[in-house]
Amino acid sequence: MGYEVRRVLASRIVWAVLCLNAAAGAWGAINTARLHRDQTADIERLRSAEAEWYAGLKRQTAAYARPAPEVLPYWQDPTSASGFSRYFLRRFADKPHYPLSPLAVGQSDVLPFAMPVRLETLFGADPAYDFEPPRALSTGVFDLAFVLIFVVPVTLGAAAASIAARERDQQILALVASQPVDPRRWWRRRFAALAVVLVPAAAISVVADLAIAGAPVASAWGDTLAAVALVSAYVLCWLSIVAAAVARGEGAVGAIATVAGLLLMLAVAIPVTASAIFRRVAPPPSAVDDVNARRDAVDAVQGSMRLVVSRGLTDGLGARADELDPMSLDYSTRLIPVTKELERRLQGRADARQTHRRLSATVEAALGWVSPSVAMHAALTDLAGTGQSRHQAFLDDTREFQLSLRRFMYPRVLQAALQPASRCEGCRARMVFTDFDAIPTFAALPLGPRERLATALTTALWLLVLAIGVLVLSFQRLSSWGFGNST
Amino acid sequence: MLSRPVRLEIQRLLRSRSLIAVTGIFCGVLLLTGLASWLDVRDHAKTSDRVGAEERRRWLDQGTKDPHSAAHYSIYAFKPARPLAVIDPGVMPFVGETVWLEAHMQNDLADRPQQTTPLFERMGLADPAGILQRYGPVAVFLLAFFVAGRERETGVLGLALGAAARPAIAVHAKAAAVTIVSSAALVAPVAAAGALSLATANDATIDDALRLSVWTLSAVAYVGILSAAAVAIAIAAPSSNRSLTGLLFIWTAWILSATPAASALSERLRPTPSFQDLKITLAREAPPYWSAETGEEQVATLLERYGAASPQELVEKGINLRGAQLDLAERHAQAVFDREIGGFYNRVADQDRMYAVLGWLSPAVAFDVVSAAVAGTDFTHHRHFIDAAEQYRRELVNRMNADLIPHVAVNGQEWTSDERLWAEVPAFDYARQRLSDGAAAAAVAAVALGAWLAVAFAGVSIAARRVRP
Repeated sequence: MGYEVRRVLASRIVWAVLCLNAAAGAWGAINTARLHRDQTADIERLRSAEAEWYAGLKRQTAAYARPAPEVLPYWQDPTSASGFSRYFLRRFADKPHYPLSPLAVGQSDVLPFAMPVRLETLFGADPAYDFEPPRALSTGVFDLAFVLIFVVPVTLGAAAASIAARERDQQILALVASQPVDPRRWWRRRFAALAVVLVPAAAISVVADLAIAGAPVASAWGDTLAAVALVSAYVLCWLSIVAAAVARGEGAVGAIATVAGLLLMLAVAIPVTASAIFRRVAPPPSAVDDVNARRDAVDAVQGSMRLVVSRGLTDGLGARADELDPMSLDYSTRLIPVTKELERRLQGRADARQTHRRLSATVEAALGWVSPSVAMHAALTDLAGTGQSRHQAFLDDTREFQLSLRRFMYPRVLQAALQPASRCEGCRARMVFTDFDAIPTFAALPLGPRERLATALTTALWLLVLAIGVLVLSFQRLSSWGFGNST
Repeated sequence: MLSRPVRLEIQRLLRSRSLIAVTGIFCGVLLLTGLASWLDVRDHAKTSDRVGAEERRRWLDQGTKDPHSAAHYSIYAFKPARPLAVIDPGVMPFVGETVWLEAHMQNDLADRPQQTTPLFERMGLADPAGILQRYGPVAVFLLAFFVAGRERETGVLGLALGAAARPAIAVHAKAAAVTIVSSAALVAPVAAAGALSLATANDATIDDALRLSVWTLSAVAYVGILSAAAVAIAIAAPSSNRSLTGLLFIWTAWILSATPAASALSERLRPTPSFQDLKITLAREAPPYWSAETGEEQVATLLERYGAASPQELVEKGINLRGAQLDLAERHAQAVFDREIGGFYNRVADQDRMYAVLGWLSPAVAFDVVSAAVAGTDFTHHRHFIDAAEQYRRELVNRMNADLIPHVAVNGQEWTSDERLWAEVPAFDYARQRLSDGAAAAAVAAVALGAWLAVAFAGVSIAARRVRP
């Protein structure tokens, strides 16, 4: 065993491949960290802009609380509850990155990390996004996950195959076979040596890549260990495939071709085919049809504005709603029942989207059991917090936040509609709503370590079982030296 | 002189069942994605046309209202799918497809298809050109390894070339044979999907047919580069083991990693500014609703413009102050949008130009640029739509404001207009960019692709000279 390990360590191709992978991985992790650092800086920028905005409103409020010949129109008056709710309220929801986010870009280059939240937006936050150069999105970011999923199997596979099949390729396997050595034992030691060197090397390399990219690998030790388990199991999985090919009698060329062919099937053909079939069998709700439905709903609500507003006011104010004339209310106040009615009418489409999203997640989870590459990618993005599952949780939190904002503002707006008198007689502003500091702020509930690590550890376990299964099957069938095909 | 050896090499390739099986799988995957992509594009085109007509009807039937309210109601524009998005969707899955052309704001295009899809759909994006560009080389390399690498290992190649009157021709025949078989297996299915799309699209033009022809030529050139490079390496490598290992390393580093790596490099060399910063600037400099202080400045400007001493005098002159203020704010915002949003998009285009230059480092990058540009799905074409939609928005909003300005409110009742005014605004009819205009930005990548082809075939000649019997 010691001799085999020394042989692996003495191989130049092994060191070349390890250095190449480490360098590529570090660059990938740095690219991701840079993207996420920019996004974090943007969140800080938004926070400062929001603070400046409210500081400005306070200054305006002080300036307007003085006698003036004319009262401001409600939409220019930050102290009018209804005017504030539509034209001055600024809040946003943000999704901070997890400690090990440089592990995988996932969907974090496409999904919004900060979204403005307004009261009248239907079903949550504005559909805003951060405009990344679309060409970069279509090529994908060169990240650590890409290196691990695509580059590592090919490079480590090639290195392992060239070492494992050296005697066969040099036509000296017969010489080895003439010695009193059991073939199974010989192959087992050889692959154990390869695994002893390559698996820890790949895992250490990933930790080093993350550290170079600035990820807190020590303080987030739980996440780091999960990443190490995941990478180790994935590398072992591909080594087992090389072992199976060599044990079957393939030379280095055959083993490398097997690895490349399997990689193409698992990482490309399966997701491409599954995606094509899934889109036909369960097409996502059309965004264009959503627009059509929304426009129809808006027209219908506009056409029955009096009824909609009057019904909405009754829901909110009870008998006191009779004191108000629905059509004399300002636009912002009318938006309260209008928004509610639009959400009621369009609930079906929102539900269809949710249903499709859940179905997609189920299909993705099922594909993970078929393709280790898909499973690995999903587990890496879950651990990095850059996938759809975390974003969905963020969207749910954002919707909750929007509802809390509505619960805060709507009663104030309706109360002001019942008592429209200014609280500052003769002033330019009404001074009805001035408690800007009391407006709720967004606080996303971070997923706990257990939820974060669950997918990674399950996937690592699955890959490990797969690798052991392939190895056991390969070696069980190995009863002779199998001089087989040298290429 | 070349046709007979090429024919013989092709016959040899076609006799290998395992090679036929491998290329057949690639061909099948490309046909499947081409078909899936065609169905997606066709469905999207139908939906967009239908809802686009609905939007026009809604605009005309919106009834009698304040023209500014009509400008807010406005229309949604839908980005039409280009027929050749079937072969290369380019940036389309990552950019929005609908935009609300409302007053005061140049909205971003919303509803990016990839924003709501799970990860496996991004991994398995129905992108025939992408599959050809990233994974097709594996099939090409296997074919090249078969026709050159194995003969090299056994010494048959040396003997054959030693006996040949002109060895270079025999080697070039191998590269040509691999190019022809690879093109038939990898390029033809994608081109067929493109032809199907053109044949079934309502709005396909001669320009689209020209685009498909140019795309097919580019794809064949790309396959030719890979074939020649692989044959040269297979001949020059000291053993078949090293030859195949070398080809796989080349695939990983020079092809598969090339586009994301070049993308990351161009981002480093030509970074784009923060988009959130842009949004903050727009909210500060061109807010959709102006403050009381800004309103006072607007009134002062308008009084000077119309030579009036007071707002009342403006009314007496028949000027609707609110309409004039809306017009002033709108035109101010348009200038800000041109400077800020236009500047931002210029930086994105600049980064794309840098990416195209990196086509000199890898043919995969060069082909990626040319393919999307020729298919009409790169950022240049996307921006053409953005600009056309924005131009339409400005004309619509300015027309509404122009109707409001000369009509003062009577007894507190604002002026209203009806279908006669709405009908004056033509329907949004987007004229797609022609190949000669839209693909100019990709010229450098096209030149790089041509240069790669020349270098690759020169490499075949050099490798042929090095072979000894």
